[in-house]
Amino acid sequence: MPSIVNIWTRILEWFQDRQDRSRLIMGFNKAAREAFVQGVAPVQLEARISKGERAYKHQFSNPFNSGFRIKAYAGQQLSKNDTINIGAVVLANETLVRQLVVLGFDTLEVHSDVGNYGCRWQLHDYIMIGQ
Amino acid sequence: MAADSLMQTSQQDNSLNWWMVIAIIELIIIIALLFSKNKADSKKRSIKKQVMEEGKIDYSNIIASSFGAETLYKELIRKCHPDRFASDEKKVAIANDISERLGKYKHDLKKLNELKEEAITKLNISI
Repeated sequence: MPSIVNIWTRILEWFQDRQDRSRLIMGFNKAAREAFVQGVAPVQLEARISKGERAYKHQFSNPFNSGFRIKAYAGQQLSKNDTINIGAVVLANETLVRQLVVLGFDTLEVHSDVGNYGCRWQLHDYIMIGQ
Repeated sequence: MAADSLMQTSQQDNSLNWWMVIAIIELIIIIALLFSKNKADSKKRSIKKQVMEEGKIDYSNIIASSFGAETLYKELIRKCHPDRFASDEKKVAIANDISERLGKYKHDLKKLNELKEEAITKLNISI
């Protein structure tokens, strides 16, 4: 029979999870804003939590919102090459990908400001957890 | 009249008890499910803890790399190509080493800048 402490721990962990996810998003957005203001990046990027792709689910996936979406908001238009490049840079950072996966994300999406076109990747393909 | 109302009250009490029993059974099932999930999740939790403690992420470098790494990489890979130093064996070896690392850090602007400094110093080139 589970103790009340176990249930309480699970509730606390759920909140901790939420906090870790929003801390990651906020960290990314803060850096993106600063880079845009300083002129390092020609486009202001913003990360958000999205629905994600069901087919990309893994054992850590969040049941509802499992997508990590990066969207361009201000500045110039993102070309297809820019979109692919942003995705490649994120995926090349192994620590970030591993953290995204354990925080329940399974899809990386990069979208331009206008229209619905964008690229998406299955995060699970870029990690080596438990191997 | 008074006897009827007394009967109704006692019947209501009985039905209330049954609902209570069902509610308790449901609660037990929920808690049991929570407990079983808890056991299954313990490994996931330990992996998560381990990954989250791995290190801090340099977001500024990620953003800067998204827009600056490709250009710098292309320039470096061209200027550090071993064929450009064919006359000097020592430099060919250094150029080979740098080219190899350039491929590895293709999307990391910070590392590419370090390699740029190394190339300027060791290969005596201007970038």
